[in-house]
Amino acid sequence: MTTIVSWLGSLALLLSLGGTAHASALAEPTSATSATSASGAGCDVVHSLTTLGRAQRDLLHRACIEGPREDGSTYAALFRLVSSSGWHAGVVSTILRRHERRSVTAWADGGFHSTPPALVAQERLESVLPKFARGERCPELRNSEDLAEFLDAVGADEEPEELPFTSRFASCVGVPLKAMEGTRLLTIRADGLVDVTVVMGTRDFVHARRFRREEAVQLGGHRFLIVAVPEASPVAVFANHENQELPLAWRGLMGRNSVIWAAPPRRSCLDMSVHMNAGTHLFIDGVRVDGGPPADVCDTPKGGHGPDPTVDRTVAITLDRRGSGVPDHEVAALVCENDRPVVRHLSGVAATAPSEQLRPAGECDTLRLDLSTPDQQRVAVLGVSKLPGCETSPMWATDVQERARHILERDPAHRGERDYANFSAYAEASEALASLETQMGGRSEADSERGADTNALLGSAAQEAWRQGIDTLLSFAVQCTPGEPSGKDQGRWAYSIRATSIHVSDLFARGYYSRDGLDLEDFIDVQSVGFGGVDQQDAALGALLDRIFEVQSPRIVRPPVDTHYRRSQPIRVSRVFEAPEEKDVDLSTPDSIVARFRPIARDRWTWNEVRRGARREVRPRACEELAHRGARSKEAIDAVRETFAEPSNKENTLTLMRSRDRLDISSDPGALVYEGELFPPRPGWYMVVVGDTDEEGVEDAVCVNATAHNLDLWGEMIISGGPLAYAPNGSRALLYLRPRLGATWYLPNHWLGFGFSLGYGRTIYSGTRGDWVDLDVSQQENLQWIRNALLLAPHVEARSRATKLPVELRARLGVAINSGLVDISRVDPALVEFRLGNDEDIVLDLDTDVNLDLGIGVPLGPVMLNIMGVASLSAVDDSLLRSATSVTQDANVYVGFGLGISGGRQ
Amino acid sequence: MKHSWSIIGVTIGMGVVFSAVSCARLTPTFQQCEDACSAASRCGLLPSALGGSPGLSREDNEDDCVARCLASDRDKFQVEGLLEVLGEAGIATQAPLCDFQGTMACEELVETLDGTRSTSELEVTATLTVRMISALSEASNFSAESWCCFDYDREIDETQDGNRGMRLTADDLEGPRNEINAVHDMFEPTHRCLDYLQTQADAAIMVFPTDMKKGAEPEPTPDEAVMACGNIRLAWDPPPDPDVDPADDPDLVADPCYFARMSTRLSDLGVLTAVDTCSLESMQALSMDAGDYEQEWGLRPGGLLINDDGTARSAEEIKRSIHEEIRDEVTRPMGFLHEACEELDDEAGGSAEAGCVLVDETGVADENPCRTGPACSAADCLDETLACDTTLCDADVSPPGRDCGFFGITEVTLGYRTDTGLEVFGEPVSGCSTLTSLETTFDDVRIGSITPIAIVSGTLPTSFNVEGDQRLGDGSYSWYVEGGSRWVTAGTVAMQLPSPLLEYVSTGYENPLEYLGWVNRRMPTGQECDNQPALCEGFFNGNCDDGIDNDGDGQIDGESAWCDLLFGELADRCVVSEPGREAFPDCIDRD
Repeated sequence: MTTIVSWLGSLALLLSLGGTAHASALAEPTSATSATSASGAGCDVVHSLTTLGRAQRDLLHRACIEGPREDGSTYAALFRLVSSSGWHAGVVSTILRRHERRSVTAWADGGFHSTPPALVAQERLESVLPKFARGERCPELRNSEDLAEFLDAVGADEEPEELPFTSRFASCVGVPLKAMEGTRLLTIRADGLVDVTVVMGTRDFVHARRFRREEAVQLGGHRFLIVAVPEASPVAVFANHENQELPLAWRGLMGRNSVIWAAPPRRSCLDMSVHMNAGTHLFIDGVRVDGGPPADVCDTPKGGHGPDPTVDRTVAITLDRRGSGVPDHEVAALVCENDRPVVRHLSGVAATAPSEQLRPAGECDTLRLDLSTPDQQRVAVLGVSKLPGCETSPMWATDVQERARHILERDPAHRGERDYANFSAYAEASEALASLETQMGGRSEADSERGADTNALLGSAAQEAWRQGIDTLLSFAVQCTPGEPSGKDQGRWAYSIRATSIHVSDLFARGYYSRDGLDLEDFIDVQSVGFGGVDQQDAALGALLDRIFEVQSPRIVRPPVDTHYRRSQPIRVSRVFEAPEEKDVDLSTPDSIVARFRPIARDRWTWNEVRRGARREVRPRACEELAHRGARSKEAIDAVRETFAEPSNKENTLTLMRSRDRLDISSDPGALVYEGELFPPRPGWYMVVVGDTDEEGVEDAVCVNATAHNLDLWGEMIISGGPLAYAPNGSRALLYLRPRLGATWYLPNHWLGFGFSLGYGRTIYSGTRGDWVDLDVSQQENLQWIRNALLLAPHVEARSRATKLPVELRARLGVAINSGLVDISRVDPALVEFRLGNDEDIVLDLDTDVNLDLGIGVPLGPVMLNIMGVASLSAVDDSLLRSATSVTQDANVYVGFGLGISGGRQ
Repeated sequence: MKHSWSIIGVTIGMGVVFSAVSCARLTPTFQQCEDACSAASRCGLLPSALGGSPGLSREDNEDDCVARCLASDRDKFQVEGLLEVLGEAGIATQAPLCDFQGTMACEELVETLDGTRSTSELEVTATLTVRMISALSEASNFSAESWCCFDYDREIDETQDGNRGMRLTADDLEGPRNEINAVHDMFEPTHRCLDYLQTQADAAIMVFPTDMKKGAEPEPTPDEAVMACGNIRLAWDPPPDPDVDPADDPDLVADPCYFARMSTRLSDLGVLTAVDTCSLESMQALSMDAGDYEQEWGLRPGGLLINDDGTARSAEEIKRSIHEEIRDEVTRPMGFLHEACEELDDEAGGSAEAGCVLVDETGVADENPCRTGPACSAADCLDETLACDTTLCDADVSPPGRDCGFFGITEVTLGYRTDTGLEVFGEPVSGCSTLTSLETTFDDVRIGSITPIAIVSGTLPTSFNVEGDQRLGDGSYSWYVEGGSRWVTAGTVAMQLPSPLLEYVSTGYENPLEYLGWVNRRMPTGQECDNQPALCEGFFNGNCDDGIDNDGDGQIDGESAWCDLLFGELADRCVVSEPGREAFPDCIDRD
């Protein structure tokens, strides 16, 4: 509802800007009078008459060249002109002047009729007015006070209170009363006017009458034209002032006798600065103002002569108060398209203003136009609309415009080709465009009848954009779709950005103003792109702009996020294939493309980087510029090209298959998305590139960070003993259990780390003495003593991170401080030496172990199951040769097995 | 990266330093340990404080000993002494305990260890289990071939020799000891004696009137009868010949009743009483009894011992016949060793004779070269080592329940005896006839030559009464039974001894006169008899008429076999040896 209201408001505003218009075609009076030829020079202005249809313009153009015809078609065209606002009816003056015709009358039915009463009255007036001026006819009126007061007011440039030229005057000078029925007199102050053309129209006929300077009657030092016109008919008056370049114009409906220009219209000036291509003809109110050679638009070779001209001058224009009947000025630029003049630009300049806004004559209005073909396509974004549902989504869609601007200005695929333009008429244009979009989006059978309205809307918005030199207008709409409430997509959002683009330059370059029945859909392009996360917004927007502007270089969308190296990294590439020019040839697109990737060799790590790396990954400098997926860095891409130009056997290829995901399906068959899974060989940074061709070329690159957790927390249970324990004099370790919890911090190289562990060691010894002690004790059943130990162990760990194997090889070497309490309650007290003389059953013993753990890690989701094989030299401070010679001689070599689980965190 | 390598370096360095410090103490060389432990192992000193564990094989024990030795502090006083004593023991043979010389060397080593100050602390002991098994188990497992192929040329049960490890053979004696030959000269005179007694008695009977009326005045003894009685007296009790030296061999032609007069059983004939009476009845009784004994003892012409012409059969013929009879008795269905002998026959091709020939040719000792050595432990059995006696490895033994029932045994006290004569007994075990296992375990038994012994108590059943006689006592006995001596090694050792039945049967078979019923069968004797031979009940101790069971064998005076003078003759002929005395001390070859 708001949109409709704003659209209506915009329409009203645009209409008000148009206003009524007068036209005068009195320019080039000298040449006009002498240049009646078959050449169309000077007639091209007819093609700027957007009031008319193409056929009517052609008719008038032909009339301009060959002379006017008085048939029904001519009537329709002229009546259209005289009924329209603006200066367009002034082109009749040009035609009459080119063919030195005083008048032309065309009847609606194309037949011949008796002279209309107004024309009869006009003839009578023209015959008696000189006499009246000399006082020979109707002297009482000539000498009346009313006339004197009228002339005084004219002399004072004031509006007269009374008008002397009325029906009484007509009757006085002998105009038949019957001729005055339905006829009114239009008094024109003609001081300084050298050529005045009055165009009037009724439903039966159209009549144009050209007056020369000498045909005006002189009264009291002033010159007047008294013209009889049909009552209630539209009348347009165009006059060429001897001191002015642009003609004076007036238009109105003749409800009663009137006088115009009794007080001369107020003047102002227009400070023009118009840059345009060579061959462009610039007109104001039908008067060519570019100063170019007098030639038809299409007589000039395409591209013009020499450099693009700039019209930089000041032109006097009318700027009078409201109600003065002065139509708005019209600036038109004609270019030749397909050997036919078309309006390159058309815009209005207000000719009236409220009294309080009338500025002094010396203050000029400014007109800045850039009608030249820009080196860069100028793109403006009208706005971004968030469709319902986006309010609760995590995406902040409002800044899409700024993101688009960033891409257009920086991305190598767009920079140099396109430029972001600030659209000053944003509000009006966006509303109009939004309305337009609404209409076009909901097009139905009834919409065909609204074609004209649509055109007007488009004209309003796009014309303003065009006036500001904008080639493409963009409007974005963001759609946010939540995942299924009960599915794997729960809590996830899918986004789609739809871009509606109006290629204004194409629109106007192809004759929009010419009312050639253009299909607006040819100029409105709707593209969309889908993505699955906020982080992909820039990349998706870049791909969307690629599609809009048919940029064929591939773009890696979906910026890679730091992903664990055991997981695949999706690589998605958006690519646009240009449709063949021949419409009957199908677009051929490959089902797959090839990307290449290679690891990035890191610079030498600094200690600070190592410290920081313990907390988070440090992005390589080569990848810094590749991070932004929207506006890519040309310098970074160039650097990547150099890198990949060097042959390297470390380079790998990755085949990307065409995505059939619903988010990737576009209405444009040439806009495709390719997708593949990158499995990094090992942790680290990788550079992925795509080119125009599969095997070479680098058009886009991205850095993939296959992360590995810097901190690995692990727990394990090792079991050994029995036949798995070894001591040269026989191991007594019946069972060795060693549960441990540890943490390992990895260096930035990911394969080497260090850490510590805290564990518990339980060793059950069962056996006999280890040496020849306690000889008086012959033999016993197997002794048993148990060692319960607290293990604190720093360690160094290395692990293979290669993903070529589904498992990882791990090795850990550590030294453990082994603080043990030995339970010797079940050791025969008779073994005095073996018990070290301890009467108590608990013995404290401190040892040092060396542990080597070798394992295979099996990734299980977020954790890793470690199948361990261990070799542990316990109690290296004891003698391995003299193991178990006492209850605290614990030297053993353990070979054990165990299971562990580990998981990391960043 | 540099820091990582530093950490690794420090870790390795610490390990090296710790290892170097811990290896600083001196240990014996491997050769020293191997020599010492080898000697210890060969002499059965393992497992002990030197190394090894009960249940391990000899090889494992030796390895453990070496390991312990290698871990010992060489500078320690005791270790130094052990290395010296054991290393210089000079036990050369691999299995010294399998022969006499080696055993002596090991005894010497043990004595040296005990006598040396630095090694005297060493305690080498064994856990000994003494088990009594049935006679059948013993015979079928360890001497089946001796039983099935009974032969007087060798002992049935080696335990008879008192020392299983030092088995005596005929070659060990001064001459061949053939029991039949030893008694062969007794057969014909005794036949002639009994035959003469019966003839003279019959002659007297013939002259007595046969129709004497009841109540009539007895008629005087006919002269012919008196003459016959006189002849009988003269034959039975001839007057001493002053020309003959009593020390000389008797003139069996002139005095054929020389051996008959010795027999306790023939004393039942009452010859002198009968001739003193010289009545019809006494002569009839004498004739009948003499005939019976002649029949029972195989002295009738055509009998086991006597040819048809009244001469004694040859010794070989008699021996063969007795061998066949005994073998048939042992191997017959439901016989003593029926199954064991059948297996033996099957191994030899199905013939008992072939089986016995095979046994004779091959010999048992070849299959078990350490038959006299220490019994193999379970672990040694698995290792099939040849340094111990493997006969116990596959033995399927049964408790002596039936044997106990046979003898009326009510209580058994198991024990062992050391080579120093020390006897150690365990707790008495009752209910022998119902136990599934009869054994006693002794801890801390010092190694050496050990003899398993047992005191078996009970009451002889009435079946042991002499036929027709009333038992003089209650028949209670307390026998002293012992098994074969073995060297007991350290660790867990089992020794077993058979029930008294085996000795009872074997002695009965091995003494032809016992087998033929000429004398009563010997019973096991009591501990008192073994310890003090003077307490043995026998003619040699002159206690056969004191009415006391002097040796505790359950028999009193004449019930005891050794109260039969024939046993004295047999002892003289080295067929038997007197209880409590050295076996065959003065045997001479009577052949």
